[in-house]
Parts: sequence; structure tokens; C-alpha cells
Amino acid sequence: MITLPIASALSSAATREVSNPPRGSAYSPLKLFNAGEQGFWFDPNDLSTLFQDSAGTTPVTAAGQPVGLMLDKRLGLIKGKDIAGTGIERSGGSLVRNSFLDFTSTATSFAYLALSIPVSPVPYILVFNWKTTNNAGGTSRAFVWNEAGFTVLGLGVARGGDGSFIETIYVPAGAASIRAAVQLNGAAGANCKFTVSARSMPGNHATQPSQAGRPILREENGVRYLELDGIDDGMLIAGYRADVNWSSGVAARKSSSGGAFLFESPVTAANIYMGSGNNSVAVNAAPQNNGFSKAIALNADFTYAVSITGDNAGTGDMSLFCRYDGTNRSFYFGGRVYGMLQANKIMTPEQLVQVDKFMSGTMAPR
Amino acid sequence: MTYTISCVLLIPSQHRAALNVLADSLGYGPDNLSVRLVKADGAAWFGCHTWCEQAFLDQLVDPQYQGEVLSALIVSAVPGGDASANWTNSLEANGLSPLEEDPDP
Repeated sequence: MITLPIASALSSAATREVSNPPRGSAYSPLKLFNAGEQGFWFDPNDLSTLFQDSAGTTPVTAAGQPVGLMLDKRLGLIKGKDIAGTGIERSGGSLVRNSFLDFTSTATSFAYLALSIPVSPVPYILVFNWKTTNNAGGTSRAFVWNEAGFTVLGLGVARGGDGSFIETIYVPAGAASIRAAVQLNGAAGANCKFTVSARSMPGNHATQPSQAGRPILREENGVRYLELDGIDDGMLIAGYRADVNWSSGVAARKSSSGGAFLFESPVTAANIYMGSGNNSVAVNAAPQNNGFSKAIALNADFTYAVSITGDNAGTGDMSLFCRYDGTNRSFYFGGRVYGMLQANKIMTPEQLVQVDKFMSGTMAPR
Repeated sequence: MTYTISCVLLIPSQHRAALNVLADSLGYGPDNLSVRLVKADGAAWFGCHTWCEQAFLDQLVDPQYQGEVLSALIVSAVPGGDASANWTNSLEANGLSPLEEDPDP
């Protein structure tokens, strides 16, 4: 068995650390999750948490770009240790191992060197660093596929000619063993020196694989937010469900008269959700009747923080910004979301006040 | 690179699967046409809204993709448009309405 030189991550979009409280606030929602509580915290103002595609290959760099992957900040975006690779596969080239992998193509076109990475119970970020020489007129790119079969999980942008490149690719929790490769597509003799870091990125991250369903990042007065079209925009947190007791805080603005669902965790008989039809936000309005609801004026900012006790635990994956029964989506939230968190715990009254104040701060002009 | 064109796509139900396969093959992911619609005559349709660039609209008229599926596709592209207004106007213009569900069945 070959032990791979999986190097520490170099600087990249995936290594940027979390920027915590909004300006003027010393409070951070991280405190809610100090004991390892399950939940999520999404902060669209933090570009380091946003990617345009669900594979996480293209970071969001500016307003006006779609969001296909949104990282959960509740654990601080602190990456775990390297996940060790267990093998090498190469095609159309020769390999020299140093402190990096030194691969020279012997093919007239397509060649690659791939590292094998085992199943991981938590999501992780692959960071590719590579430098090409003798590749004028050719291209190189990072890509990732399932070992079983050849199903592509992530495909980086093809980079032309010689140069130094960095690419990140997100791999969701529970993904089967994968191969992470740098591919050369040029003339024989092209050389590539590279390292790959596979660092776990625990969290309940939200994804949207379809282009039409992705929210757009917008910015106004220095404040970034997700814009949901109220038609078909929504995301999913695969593998995450609400518990019997939970709390939530949101900062948003509703701009369409359609559905008001902000999130939902389906159960067999009755769903756990924040939101309802049309212009009010209700928490489990029926049949649980937990007694919380808040009317929403269209096109006006609103926040809330609330704790709920004694519901059924969710049995289906958590959907964001719409209802989702596993097959069909409906009742999409249309408007802006500045921030949103949920925790499988009961917050104290003091914590609820802090969360509500924090959420208000996410909407304040910078 | 930003997406500034509001784009509504509408297609009869029988062409939905093929259009979703085409979109997936072009890198736009699965199940883009996901909103269930009904025409005034009772026919089932599907639709979606997406923000896009001109390059996407160019693909829709690219000769290599032309055929029965794209011929049946209705497109409403409004640069800088309002998503909700574009959606509502497009549905009305084509005699379509959303297939509503009870949010608390």
C-alpha cells in the first residue's frame, strides 16, 4: 500500500476562516453550538461559505452569482485533519514522488494521475495545487470521480498552458471512495507537479444541484443576502433533520405573496417547519399548535428567534426556502434571506434575545 | 461573471424529461424544469425560472441542439428583469397556472 504525500492545504477559497459577527456586534452564534449541538448557521454575507455549484468547484466572488453550495458555519468552518489517501492510479504518464507528485505525460492527449481517498462520514474539501510546464497549447484541470464506475463528482475549470493553479472541490458526507486527479490534456512531455489536501469540513451544508433552483447572491448598502425568486429556488441539507426540541433565528424580507417556508424537516404525519402558506411565518401551526406565528408585511425586513418543545423529530432531510417531500417542491419563499440558524436545543430567553439582535445586525448597512 | 437576465422556461410535460437530460448534459444540473403547471385546456406543463447570461440564451438557438424538444420550449428572457413579474406574465401569456398544493395537508 502506498502512503500518499497529502500535503497541508495552501491558501485558497476553502481555507478562509469564518468571519463571525456582523459589524458592531460582539456576539457570535458559535456560542450556541459549543457543546456540539446539531443544527446550522448560514451567513450569506460571508463569501468564504458560498460556492456557485453544488460540487464547490467555483467560489462565489461577487453579487449576481448563483449559490449552489452554502457551508454551515456553526462549527466555525474549522477543517479537520487530512484524510489519508490509499493508492495511486495513473494513465498515460510517468510518476516521480518527491514531497509532491511529479507527473509527466507520455500520451499525445489525455493523461492523469489520481489519488484514491476512502469513504468519509463527514464532508470534506479537496484542495488541488499544481504547476504545469511543457504544456503550451494544452490544458490541465482537477477532477474527482467515484471509484466504483466513473461517475464524475466534480470537474474543475480547464486551465490553459503553463502556470500555477489552485482548485477546490467539495465532497459531500458519505460519498463512496473517490479518486482525485489532475488531468493533462495536451502533448506528450507535459509535466505537472501537484499536491492534494483532503481536509474534512464538518457541518450541515446546503446544496442545490440544479441551476434554476439556485438562489442568487445580491448586495445592497454593503449587505449581502440570498435572493429567492419564489418560483423554484430552494436548497437541501442532505442527512440533517430537526429534533423534538429546537430553536431558530432568521433575518429575511419577503417580497412575493407565495409560500413563506423558510425551512422544513418532514415527518410522517406532520412536518416540522418554519413558515406556512402566504404572508405569515408560523412554526408548526398545525397540527402541533405550538402557538408561534408572526405576520409579515411584504417588502419589509423581519427577524425572529423562537424555541419549540415537544414536536415529533424530523424523519426527512431538511429543505430550505420551500417545502420538499423528497419528490416534489412547493411553496417557495420569495425574497431575501440575510441569515438563518437552527439548533436542536432549547435556547434560553437570553439566548433568544441575543439571536434576534444578531439577526437584526445582519441587515444593518455596512 | 454575473447573471443578470431573468429567464423563464416553459415546456409541455411530454418533453420535460428530455429537456432536463439536455440541461444536465450541458452542466446545468438535474431536474431544472421542476414547477408543475397546468394549461387552460388541462394539459400538464412544467416550468422554471433562472438567472442567466447571454451565453445560455445563445445555447438555446445553437443549431447543434435544435430538434423537437427545443422547438416546444417557450422562453421569456428579460435583461435586468423582475423574476416574479417575468414568471407571472409568462404564465398568463401562455394560458398556464401553477398546480397549487395545500401547504398543510
